[in-house]
Amino acid sequence: MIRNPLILMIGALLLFGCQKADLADLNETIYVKNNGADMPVYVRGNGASKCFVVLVHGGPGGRGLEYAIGKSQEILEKEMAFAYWDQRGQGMAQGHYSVNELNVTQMTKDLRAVVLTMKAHYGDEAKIFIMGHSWGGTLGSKFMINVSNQSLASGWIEADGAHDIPRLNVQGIKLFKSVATEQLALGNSTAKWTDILNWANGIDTLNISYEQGGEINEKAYEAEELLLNDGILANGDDSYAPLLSPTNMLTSAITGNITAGLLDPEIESTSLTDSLFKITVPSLFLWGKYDFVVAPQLGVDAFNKVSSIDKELVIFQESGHSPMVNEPELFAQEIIEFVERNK
Amino acid sequence: MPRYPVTLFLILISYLSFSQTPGTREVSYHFGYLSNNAVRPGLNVGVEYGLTEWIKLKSKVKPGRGAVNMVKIHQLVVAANLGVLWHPKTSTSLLNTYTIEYRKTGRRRMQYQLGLGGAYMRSFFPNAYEVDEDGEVYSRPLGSAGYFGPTHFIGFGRYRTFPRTFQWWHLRIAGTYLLDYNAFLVPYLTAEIRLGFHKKPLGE
Repeated sequence: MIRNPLILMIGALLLFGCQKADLADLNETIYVKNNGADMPVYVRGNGASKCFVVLVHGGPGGRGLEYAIGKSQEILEKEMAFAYWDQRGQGMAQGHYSVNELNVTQMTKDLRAVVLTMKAHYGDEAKIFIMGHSWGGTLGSKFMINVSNQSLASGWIEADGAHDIPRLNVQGIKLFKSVATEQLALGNSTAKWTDILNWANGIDTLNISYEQGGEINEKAYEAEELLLNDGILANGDDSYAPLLSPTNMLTSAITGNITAGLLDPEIESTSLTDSLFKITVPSLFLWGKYDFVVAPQLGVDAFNKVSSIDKELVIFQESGHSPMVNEPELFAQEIIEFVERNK
Repeated sequence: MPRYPVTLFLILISYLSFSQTPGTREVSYHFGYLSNNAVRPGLNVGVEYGLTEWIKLKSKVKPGRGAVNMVKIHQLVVAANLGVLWHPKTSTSLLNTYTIEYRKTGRRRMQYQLGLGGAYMRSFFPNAYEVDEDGEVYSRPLGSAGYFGPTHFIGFGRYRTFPRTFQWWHLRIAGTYLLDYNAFLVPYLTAEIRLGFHKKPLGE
């Protein structure tokens, strides 16, 4: 007796969730199953443009929809569609697999599965661009250095991407020292910059431990906060993820933290700088001048190393680790121009 | 002091008290609004049955207030629930739980509950695809994933006076621990306001 109404109810709910999307104003979710993981891809924006940017979020432990808010996305989604992907073990991704299947190589295969699914869902004529931010830059770079994966993408956008963790720690310390000296000379937040300078001077850059790597990350946000308060960084966007979003914050936080903990030992030694020459697709590197998490020197390295004919490096003068937040209009404009050029 | 009128009075008071509290070995049905972390709304239906009960009756004669009678009922209740949680942009989940609960009915028919049991959740995904090892993409109509896990809850509510169809309301918070969700155990919190009904009002 109860079976039929229940099936009807589930059917109606799924049907509502699967309504035919308006291509020019897409707002739909695709689930991609790959090797045990069921991963949501939230596709939003102008799908009629046939240009889709697959956003590889930061973290690990982040979520795709963190990036779906704010001025930059408001501008970008009018011109193209963004596919906000929740990676394996993060955001609202679920499924069954073993801890051994939680590694960078598997996640690179997941990204390939996402791209293939996008092409299956929106048609082969869909132009796919990959954009990685922070940890997404590690994963995206690992994906892009594979020639077969490159053939699926029309372009690679790396925004403050961590493609070389040992190097970013060393460059981060250098940046702390130079910016602290500069800010002390300007008389800005002198007590705190003195502390940061003393701390940075105490780090042996030839032997940075795992714990010190975590410290560098923490200090990076502390330094950005100081620069923001002193008006050095632009405060372009103060949007934040609303509670009532599709992401269940508690589930996302728990799974994300566990996943980050499991991935960290592998990530800490990941260095892809020497493999970047394999990238031949059009590439855009977007970096914040005051990014202490992933110093701009890594953007310079990537720009110099890739073999792409169409390549560009943009350093945002009033940005930290997230130029899409500090200088959203400029950030969006660079991406629009790059996609227009390479679609 | 006349013994018989007092005894009769106590029996009458007890009868009235019991007629306003839940009986054991009765089936009641419930319907509730369910929510997961305030993000995903849902509905829940279920049935419960009182297995056994312990009754404590206290009578006191207080100066100026006459006889004060207090009835406390401690029960063990088993229940089966089927809930649907939904979000248009993520998944539709069926949450099936089987629980055993300790329930206490005290002053003013307030009920307090504490229980545990087992759960099975199945999530259904919109626009589901699967990619095989060769890179072939397949559509998965009604693509889904299921999880087992233990569940426990606390709650409170009120049992309404006199036998009636809408007999009680409860507010409860439950934690279900989904095993093998991704590659680990993940807690899943739900809150529910549920209304209890008898198919026929008791006493009819």
